[in-house]
Amino acid sequence: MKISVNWLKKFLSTQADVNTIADTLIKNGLEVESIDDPATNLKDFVVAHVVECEKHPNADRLNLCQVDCGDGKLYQVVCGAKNVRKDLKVVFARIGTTIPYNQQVLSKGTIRGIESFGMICSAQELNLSDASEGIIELGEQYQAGDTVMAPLGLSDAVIDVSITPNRGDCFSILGIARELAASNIGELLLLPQTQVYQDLVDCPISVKVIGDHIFTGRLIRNVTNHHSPEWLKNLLTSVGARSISAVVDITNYLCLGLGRPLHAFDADKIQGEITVRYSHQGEKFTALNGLEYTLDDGMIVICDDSGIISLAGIMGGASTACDENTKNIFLESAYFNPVTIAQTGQKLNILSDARTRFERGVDAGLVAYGLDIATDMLIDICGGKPSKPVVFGNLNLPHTKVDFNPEKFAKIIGVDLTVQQITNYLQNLGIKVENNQNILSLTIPSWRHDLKIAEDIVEEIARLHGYESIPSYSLSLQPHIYCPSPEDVVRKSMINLGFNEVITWSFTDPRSANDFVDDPESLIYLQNPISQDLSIMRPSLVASMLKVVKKNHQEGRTNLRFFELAAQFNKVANDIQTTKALAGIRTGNYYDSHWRLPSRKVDVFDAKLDLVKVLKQFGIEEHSIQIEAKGPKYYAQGQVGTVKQGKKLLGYFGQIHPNLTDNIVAVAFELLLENILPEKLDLYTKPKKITLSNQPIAERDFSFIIPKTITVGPLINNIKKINNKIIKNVTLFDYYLGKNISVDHCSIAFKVIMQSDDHTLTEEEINSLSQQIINYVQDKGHGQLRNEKN
Amino acid sequence: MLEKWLQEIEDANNLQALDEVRVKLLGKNGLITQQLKNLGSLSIEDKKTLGLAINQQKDKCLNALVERKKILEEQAINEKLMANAVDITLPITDEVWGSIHPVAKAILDINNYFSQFGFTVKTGPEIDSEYYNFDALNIPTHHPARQNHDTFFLKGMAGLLRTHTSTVQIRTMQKQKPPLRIIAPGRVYRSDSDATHTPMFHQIEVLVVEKNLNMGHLKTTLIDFCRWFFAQEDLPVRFRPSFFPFTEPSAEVDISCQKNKDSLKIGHGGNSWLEIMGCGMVHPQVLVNCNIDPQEFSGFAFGMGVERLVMLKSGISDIRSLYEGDSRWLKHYGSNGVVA
Repeated sequence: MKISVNWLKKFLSTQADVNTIADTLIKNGLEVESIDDPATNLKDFVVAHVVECEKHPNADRLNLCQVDCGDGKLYQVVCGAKNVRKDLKVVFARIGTTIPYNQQVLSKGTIRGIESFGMICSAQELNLSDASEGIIELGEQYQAGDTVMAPLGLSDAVIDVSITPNRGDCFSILGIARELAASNIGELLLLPQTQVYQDLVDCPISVKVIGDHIFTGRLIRNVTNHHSPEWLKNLLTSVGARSISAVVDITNYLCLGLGRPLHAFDADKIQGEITVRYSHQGEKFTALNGLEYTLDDGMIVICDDSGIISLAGIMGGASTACDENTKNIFLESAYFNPVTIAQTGQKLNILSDARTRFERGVDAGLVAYGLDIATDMLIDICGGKPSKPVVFGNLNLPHTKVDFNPEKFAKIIGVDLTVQQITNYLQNLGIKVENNQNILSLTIPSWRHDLKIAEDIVEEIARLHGYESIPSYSLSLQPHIYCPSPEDVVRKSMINLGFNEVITWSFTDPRSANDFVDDPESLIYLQNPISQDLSIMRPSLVASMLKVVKKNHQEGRTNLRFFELAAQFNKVANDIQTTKALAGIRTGNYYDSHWRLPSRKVDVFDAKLDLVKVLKQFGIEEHSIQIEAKGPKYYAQGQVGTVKQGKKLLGYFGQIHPNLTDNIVAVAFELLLENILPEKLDLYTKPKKITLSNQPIAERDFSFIIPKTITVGPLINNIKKINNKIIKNVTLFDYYLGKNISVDHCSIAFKVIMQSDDHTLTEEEINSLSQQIINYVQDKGHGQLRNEKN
Repeated sequence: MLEKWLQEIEDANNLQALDEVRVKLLGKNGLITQQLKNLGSLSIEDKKTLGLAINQQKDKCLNALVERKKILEEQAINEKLMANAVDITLPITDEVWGSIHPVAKAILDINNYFSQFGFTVKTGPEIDSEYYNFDALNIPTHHPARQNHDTFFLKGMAGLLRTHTSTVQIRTMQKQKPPLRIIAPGRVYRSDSDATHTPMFHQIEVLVVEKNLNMGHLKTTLIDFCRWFFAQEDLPVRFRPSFFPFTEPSAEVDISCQKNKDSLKIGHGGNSWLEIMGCGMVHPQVLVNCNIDPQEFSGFAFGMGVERLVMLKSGISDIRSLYEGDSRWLKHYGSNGVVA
């Protein structure tokens, strides 16, 4: 909301400059967005009267002037302008003034032997014009000593204030003036008295009001709706409002100035009688903005015999709008329920100055005054004759009462104020204070709808007292109970694996979302997305991570290792399932090319290793998980695994389906964190006991040819189980497909390390165990022993 | 003679040559061996004196041989090693070492900071209900304050994307009785997208509910936090009144900064203020909504946008860069400090 300082001064007598005003507003809780003050550069310049003007004794082209700038002295000035002359009103800079044009501070000069104590300025010197065309000539009417703003036709200072939703009262210049007065920045002026008209006729338009509204109105006959006077136009334009016609400008002026929305109907366009009522679903209304709206039940509307002529508290109708031919007007001033106005405004999506104020609560105490002062202004500016007002509802709504225990202030704010100090602050805000045995009985002014409970009162006192005077208290000491969250452990293992964390949108687009689900019904759509691209909650982290991956590749940054730790979203039978997940993606080559590093593409086993390593951080060992050769459709079939622990799904790994990657080789793994993470990490779990045997080690290598249908992982895992005590380790050191092996077979070779904890293994023991291993692989793996090496 | 022999030992420049000298002197038919053999033919007296002299010479030669051998062996090893000498100026490559996103890092650091004061980390769902996001927080259905949230709603079903992590306040207070100190980080969503706003960002909400808590506690906690976060112990922090439906009194927190044409420097002696978060004393209605007696307990809460804090601290000017996942950006601004 824009506040013009000149306008403000209609409500507040103050000498404060615009910066003091802005600072006070900030301190009071009204956020200042910007200050636009053309006077900043011109504040030291004054209107001066050229009392005498003669030729310079030593220079033909120069003049020697005596100027009066209202401070009781005459200043001798040498001036070179052709247009300087006696009795001219000019813009004058005293010594010490900074000249905007050259940013030089003016000092006393001596020109051709004559001292000069200031400067009579040109428009160029004030940065108001590019060319120097002599000194500025001001109008006769200005007084020496005046500031130069008005004479120069410059608009006044404007402060743009952002009003918090609770302060409907500050959506008016009057409200801002009250705030400033409460902080002792000037004194609040009384609102202008309204006229008392004699012998008024009854309002000839009959009005009926259905519902609990305060509604007043009157007919004003024989007005002339011409242009507004300059002062009114200037004030409106200064705060960014457009001057339209006198009638409209007057209502806008009172809306912005007093926070009192009014509506003027062209009375000659009203058909029959006026009814204020609630709307019915499907009723149509064409507003002043030219748009037609279809209404719901329960919106407050003002109707005539032809239909709706105004959406109460929001916007007038096109059919009864005032124009330059308007002769008779029906002027309305009312109070409507803020919630109803808010609902209507939101539903129809209409923004207006009236709605902004009504939905935050206007001052019910100004309904009657608003009508009267608007009447006075109309008659003053447009002429005409008013009727008696029609009045519905209680014009004098009872004021809110709050009982306030002054001790509450110290309790909440931590500052001790005397009851007198508290009383003073509250009275500054227009609150009536009665002290009943140390409980203050407060009567809240009609414009402060936000003050309802003791805490609201505490805030009022605190902000006037100043938040800066709130003392410092430290929280009591508490034990340090932090333990790293599982997410932090995940992050640690991911950075150790060389992954860079990304944060990508939780939203994705319909096409990519559908690539990630089997059932489109499981997608969660936003009702009001920013764009189609961000319209669905991603069903998998990989969906939005892939976009980031592709962008990097397009721009030539390959061999990526990205991970993200976030939620993914699915709908299962209308239930929203939010799953916290970890996803890691590798692309391109395992290493950037470098003379020391092997060169190879990433593959599914890199993703598998990443996954296994993260699981290990949470105590889930590789041998305790099961891997099935299948996975979601966004992985390449045949290159994907589903990881489970018993029935629990832990995650997936695999190569991303080439259709989704624009030919980038990308492998990924995903873990459903809730299924692997303990609620809290136990930092104090004892590791399992380990036996470090000193007995000699026996190594045996085995080589088999087995059918490809046999899964090698479980086979190798199970060999250890043949004798867990003696077999310390089994390592697959060769896996071979191709030449010399039939197409449906593979060759495997593994090393078995055998060691007893308590004795040297005998040759018989070793041979017997080896035979068991051979039998096992032959039996379970349909393996054909190739040889046995030592 | 001894001088000559010692010189020969000294002159042997490889192990083979040295061994030849040894054989020449001390071998079966070596010069010294011969001399010792010849002693047999001498008188006892002569044997004694001459024998002593020869043995002394022999010892000296032996010592010299051992010494020389050590040196030659070392030389031999070094020669062998030097044959395998590498160009130590060859460029090495960075270890594969990942990074944490600066936003995640800030959350982690802030969690850590508050944990020192007995705060625990709480989280809640990102898709939530109007009740937790608004009603329970004293934001009435049609209040303009609710409109200011630019909420994303779900299509065809109840639910919204939480607009703040204050939802976690309510969930926690309804489950756990005071005294409470919690910190709630997480993703939040607002239907807003321009140069300084993104539809998704991160927020951290801090809540304390205890007996005898006042705004002075809030102020101190916040000032200390700001100074810690920006690592400036004299950072000026300003509180100014504001409005949030779930706190009363409410305040906004500004820090001092120097704003110039293209730069912004946070710190003492600045020419401007930067708003960094909102805070206040928990509104009694919010406590009542969570079955906490506002007569007995009071609370304070504050909420901050993590992106904004990170951008200010790291001098990142474009909020979108945080989500673009440019690998160069991630490596530059990411943190590879060990966590947890």
